[in-house]
Amino acid sequence: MNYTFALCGNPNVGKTSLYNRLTRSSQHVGNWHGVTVGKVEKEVDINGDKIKISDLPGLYSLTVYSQEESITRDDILTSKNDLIVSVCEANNLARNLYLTLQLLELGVPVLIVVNMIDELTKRGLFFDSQKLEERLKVPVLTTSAKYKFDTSELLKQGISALHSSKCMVDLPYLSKLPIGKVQDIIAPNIKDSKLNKRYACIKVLEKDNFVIDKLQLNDEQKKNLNALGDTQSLVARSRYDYIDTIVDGIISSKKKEPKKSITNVIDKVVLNKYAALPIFILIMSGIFWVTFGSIGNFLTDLLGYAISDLSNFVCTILKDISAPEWVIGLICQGIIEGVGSVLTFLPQIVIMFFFLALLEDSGYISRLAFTTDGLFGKIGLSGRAVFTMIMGLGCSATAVMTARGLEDEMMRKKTVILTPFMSCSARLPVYTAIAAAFFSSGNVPMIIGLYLLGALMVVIFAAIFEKTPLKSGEASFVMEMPKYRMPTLTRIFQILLNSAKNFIIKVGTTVFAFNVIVWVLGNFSFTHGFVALGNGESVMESVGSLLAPIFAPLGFGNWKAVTALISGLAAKEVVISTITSLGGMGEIFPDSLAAITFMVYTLLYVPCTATLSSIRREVGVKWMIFGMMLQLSSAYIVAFAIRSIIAAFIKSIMLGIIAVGCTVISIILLGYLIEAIFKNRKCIRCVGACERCK
Amino acid sequence: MTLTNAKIDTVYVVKNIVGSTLKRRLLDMGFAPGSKIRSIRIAPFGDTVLVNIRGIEIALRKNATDCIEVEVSK
Repeated sequence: MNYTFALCGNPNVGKTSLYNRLTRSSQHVGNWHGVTVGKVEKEVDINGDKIKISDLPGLYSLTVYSQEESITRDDILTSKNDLIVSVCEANNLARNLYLTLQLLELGVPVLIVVNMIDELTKRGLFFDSQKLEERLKVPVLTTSAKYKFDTSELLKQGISALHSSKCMVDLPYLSKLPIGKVQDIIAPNIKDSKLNKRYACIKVLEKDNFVIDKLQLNDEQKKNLNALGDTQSLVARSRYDYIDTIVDGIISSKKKEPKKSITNVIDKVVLNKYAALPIFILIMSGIFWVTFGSIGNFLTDLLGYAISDLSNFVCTILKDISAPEWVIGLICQGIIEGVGSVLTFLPQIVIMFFFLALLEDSGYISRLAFTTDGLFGKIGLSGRAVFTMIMGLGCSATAVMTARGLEDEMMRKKTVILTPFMSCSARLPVYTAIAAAFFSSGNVPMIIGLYLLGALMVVIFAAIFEKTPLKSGEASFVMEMPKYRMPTLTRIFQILLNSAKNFIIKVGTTVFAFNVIVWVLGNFSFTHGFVALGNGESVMESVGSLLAPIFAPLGFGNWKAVTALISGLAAKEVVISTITSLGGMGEIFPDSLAAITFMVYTLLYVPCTATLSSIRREVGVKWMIFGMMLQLSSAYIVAFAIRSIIAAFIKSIMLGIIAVGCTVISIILLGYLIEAIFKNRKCIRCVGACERCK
Repeated sequence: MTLTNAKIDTVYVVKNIVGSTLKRRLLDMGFAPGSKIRSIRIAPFGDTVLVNIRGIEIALRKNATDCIEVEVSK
């Protein structure tokens, strides 16, 4: 038999973890709300039955608020799922059952899986799934998807559940709702809408616009419905009152629980009004120091030596067997050195992704959203945009998709086109290699400066947009705060392995292919065949030279730099492999100033094609082009401005940096001081209720 | 009174949710009338508050706390 199971539940209850266990997949997981933004499905075999399992974005109710949530609602309503696996979190049972009840109202076969049961067990609590099963008359299983478990049991239970399920579970609280009255009003419309009758009536009471639009109610009907009063609150309250009777006594404790959880203790420090921001800066500096400073640098150097040894070895052999000149060039310069120049950054890329995953898995990223929401709110973004921005430090192409969780459409679009300004991991080799060539290797402050510049561009543009028709609508920020969680060792291992694998695959395919193309175009001419580098005849040189004058004001107006930037559109890593296989930094950048402007330009100009197509999918061609114009123009302007400023101060460059640094620090300190003294004269323990604060 | 004016670390009971767009969202997330609620802390830049509702911690911006009418729990 063939079956389809859909995983449905609140955000961050571990649906994707469960999906990964059931289907042996490795979909992205994280400890924050809204990691999964689209539907994925995979088929598994169990005792000859084929089960197609689909993972859906999390949601709180079948009445939805954002794009990703509507994917789930539409799947539940329209796809022919044989069984909905209602995934609940053990710590949060009542709120999770709120959604489960809506699935039961709809009359679909449901299996309840209570996840994260280990967290209860660790606290010495006991979960009585049998009691829950008896009360709800729906099969209940408990599990911990974080750890390995026997998935066949769950699947077998699922199959037996769908065979034994009653279509309409009797839900006593429904008798308290004026469903009969609603049915009388909307009866003629239900048939055409193809909606389930009970579901339609309840959703009309909840004033769900999706259902109301589907039913095409007339003004008379709407008026009659409004006469029923505040039915929204009534429905919510009835469900919660019923849930309270259901969950009573389900979780029992063997010993007395400590009043303060670890999460509360950590949050007391991490979310402290004054410490929160410095702690964030400290954490990020730490990440950058490990990635770009001593440790990351050491590992990259080690790999670099190995690759150059290999290059020498291969080249000697090729020369010994007197291979043609162009073969030696292609293999040694084009492939080994070029591709190798990117591959050496493997350790640093892995370290970066490891830390990003740690930020996600620990739950810290949600704290960051809370901490910065006030700041983001002022520039028309929401604290939720932090998720997208931090993910953007890894890969822009996947990060822009996480913006789907943003409720305001304008805000979502702006977040998407601004995300590429956050320096992604593909740009990391460019900075590191150039900084190492022109400045000291492991030049952490310079690299941090580039990352900050990218973030600053996001803030500046968002602030500018707020003064234009691109202003965001009045946005809300309602975000659940996950508990702090420790990733398991297996998970850490998986993160390291996956990021290494992805990087090696990218280097082996995109970077490799483009490097060969660039090398061939750079060394062959249309008429003369192999011409070797730099004698003015190769295809790349003739094309590149046409564009080169544009970049002359930036200091790198030569065809090689132009070629590197163009090929960087395939993947940003290609910028550095192109530079290497076209003869190295020395020939491209006349001075260290040109190297700086080149890094700034690479940071800000158009993202890679994978990101562009991802942006187009999310916000459409018009916005994608708008974003590209924004990036191209700001890259040129900022790079030129920085070049001019540095050139003006070149003799006292250190003085300039110190002065700028001091100014920034003093402005921040002054800001804090003003905030502390004037703006928030409220006392720390009060949100404005006490006499003084009024 | 609304949650915006609530004292930190004092337990209140949700009386009513007002407003239109946010109302259903808040109801769905557990802010149903009759639920116990407690503000835990304010975010560094103000305007955003972390509250505990039914044992769950949720961050809310001021426009959301304005929608939540509460009274002191007896």
